[in-house]
Amino acid sequence: MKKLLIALFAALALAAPLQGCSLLQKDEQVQFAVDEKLPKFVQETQAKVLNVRLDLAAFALAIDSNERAGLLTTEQAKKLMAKVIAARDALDEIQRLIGVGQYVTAMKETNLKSAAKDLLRQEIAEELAKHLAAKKGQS
Amino acid sequence: MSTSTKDAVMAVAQLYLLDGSYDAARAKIITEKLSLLPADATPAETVAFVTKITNEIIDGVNARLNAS
Repeated sequence: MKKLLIALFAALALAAPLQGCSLLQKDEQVQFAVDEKLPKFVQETQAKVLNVRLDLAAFALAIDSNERAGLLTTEQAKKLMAKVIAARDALDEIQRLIGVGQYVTAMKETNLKSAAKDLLRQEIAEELAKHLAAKKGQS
Repeated sequence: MSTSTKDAVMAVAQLYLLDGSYDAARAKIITEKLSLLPADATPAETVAFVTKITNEIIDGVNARLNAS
């Protein structure tokens, strides 16, 4: 337990300068103009879809910068980008459902995609850790 | 520190590094791209604008990776 705590403190000390003040910005939701003629839950779904779009674009840039920095291999980055694109395609379908008035299905799908964002974040972290472990094995 | 403890340290550091690059990227999109959305944009224009800028980013990264 003591070793784990030491490890965590060491990791925080190492990571803090890299991270800057991003803890304060984590998952800040942007307020978008929504169609006020639509029911409240549809307005919320629309806003959530747009925020998840921003999340996916941020994931793409994070994958890009980590690959450029050599923290991910190109193959790992491509694999992760395929997941980002699949999630983006799902959002396009959700927006189509909103357009044709299938609000409840759209809301359910949006909630699923919003939750999937955390899984995607975890997968990217795991790929980073895998690459690091492989690099250590080579040295 | 033992090897496994060092691995744990590095794994946590990587997670923070990811969070840092993700949060920085999100903040950059908001300040550099989203700020170009007109204040009087309609909801439909907002959806089109956000979809366009985020698609450009995703497709740009994907194209670069596939070209390499």
